[in-house]
Amino acid sequence: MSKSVRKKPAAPKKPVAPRKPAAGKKPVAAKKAAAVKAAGMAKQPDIAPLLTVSDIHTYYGDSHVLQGVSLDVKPGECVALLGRNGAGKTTTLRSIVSLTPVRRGHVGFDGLDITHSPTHRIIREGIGYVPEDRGIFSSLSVREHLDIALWAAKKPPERRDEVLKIFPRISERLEHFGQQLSGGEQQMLSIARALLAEPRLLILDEPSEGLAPIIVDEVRDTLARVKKTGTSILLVEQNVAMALALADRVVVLSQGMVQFTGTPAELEAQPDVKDTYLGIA
Amino acid sequence: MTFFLFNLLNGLQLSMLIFLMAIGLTVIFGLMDILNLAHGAFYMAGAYFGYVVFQATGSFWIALAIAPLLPLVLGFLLQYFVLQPLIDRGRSAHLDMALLTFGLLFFTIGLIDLVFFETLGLTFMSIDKPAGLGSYVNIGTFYPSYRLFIIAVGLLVALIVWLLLERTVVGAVVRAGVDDREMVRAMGVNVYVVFASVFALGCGLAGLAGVIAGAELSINITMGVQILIPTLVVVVLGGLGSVKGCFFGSLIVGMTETLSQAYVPALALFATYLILAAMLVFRPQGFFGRTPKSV
Repeated sequence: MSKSVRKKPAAPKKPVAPRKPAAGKKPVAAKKAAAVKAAGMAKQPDIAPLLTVSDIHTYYGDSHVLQGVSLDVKPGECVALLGRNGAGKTTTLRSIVSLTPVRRGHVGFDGLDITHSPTHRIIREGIGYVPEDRGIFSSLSVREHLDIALWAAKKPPERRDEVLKIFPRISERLEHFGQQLSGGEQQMLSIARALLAEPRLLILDEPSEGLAPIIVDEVRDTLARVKKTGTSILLVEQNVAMALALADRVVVLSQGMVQFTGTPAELEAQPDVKDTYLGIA
Repeated sequence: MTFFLFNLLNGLQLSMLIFLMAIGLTVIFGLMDILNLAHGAFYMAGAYFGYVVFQATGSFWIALAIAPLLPLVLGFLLQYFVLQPLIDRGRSAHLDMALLTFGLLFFTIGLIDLVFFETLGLTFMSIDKPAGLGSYVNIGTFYPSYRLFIIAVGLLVALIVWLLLERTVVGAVVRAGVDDREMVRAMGVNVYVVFASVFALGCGLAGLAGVIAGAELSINITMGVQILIPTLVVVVLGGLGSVKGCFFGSLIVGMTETLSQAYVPALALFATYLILAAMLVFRPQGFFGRTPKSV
């Protein structure tokens, strides 16, 4: 186990204004203070995390997929979740939004316990979800994708125009059907759709998968812009270079357990972690 | 020639009645993965409740307006409080749902038999056709105007359902749900309410078909099962969740049943099933069916 418990060196990060906690929401039960979180917590001790995943256990049938995963994402922060295939990255994301039910442990979002909330309510609390296969409907037009998202989030049509400014290529293809879009366009649509609801946390599952390098750069730049607006990001990636370029912190998963939590710099300093759990030296 | 026209219209009339049933069944199956065999029960609920309303008010039109509300409400309750919780608990296998709703169909038949036959002593009932639709019109042949009314209602409902599904956001949600249910949830859509509403509308249309049939055919306890079988064939022919497929599937089944009876009675018993078997072999996803998965 190469859990990083070191304090982060100097390198002060741009402080992020914490969101005002909504009145009347009951706080989550004190989360288990996992040692793995110490490094991240020490940087901004005064800012409460936006997303708190505490010791969650998730099963597919009898198969114990997540065996006590803990992580958190602070307001404005980008956290990359890395690991090999089958490490439990996708399951962690699906557990957060209740697409796969959590058997034990807790998920908290902005002071609310959302562990067992239905998916649509979690999304409406302010989480945007971009799934692994992009989740584009083959028989719906681009406009209809955005219409559903607007309708579900109860946003005015002007919100669509705001978001489309960030995605010029999507705005040119409003009448195209999902199956007519290229992989990159589908990915952009999936991100645009998630951003329509103005989420405070954007969760993405391998947005670079199957895309040409130049499109991967485009996705990366888009996410960098999203991050600049203050939206928190939880990113699962196989493309470690892209993830490290965006992430403030990195969580490494293996066999359903967190093996490392730290900054990209700290990960660089631990080649054995990269070698063992990511397969890169 | 007039014989052919007469049978063509009869086929169209049967097709529209089957369409009113099948459209709900196919959208429910496509969207929720529930093979709702209780659809025949909602058809019966419409017919019998329509009979009760007709007896109370003497008006076909009031019966037509009110009776479908009973299956509509029952359908919402069944989906929201019984089927969906079972699905959430993992009991979503086709067989589970088919058995449960099949049981409900026979429960309904038993209940209706208990109330209307055992208690009230009624066997073959019927709703009177409304004034103005009770006679014949001359369109080259003398044809019952009420059957033309059935055809008109079927076409109108087909148009409305098509507009709802293709031109509204909720319709887009339903089509998206047929592609990838999970993603619809992950977009923040309360699928429980959408599913139950769609289920309720489908059951309401089955009830509407029941009232309409109650003035043309007789109302009896075998009517639910009788209409369910051709309806299931339509769902297979048309493909899941497709209005277009359901419409053409209904035409094929209705026409085949009627025309084979008129021209080749020896074939009538199995002509529809011949088409069904051929479809299952050569194009199991149906005419307009698609593999229900996002790209």
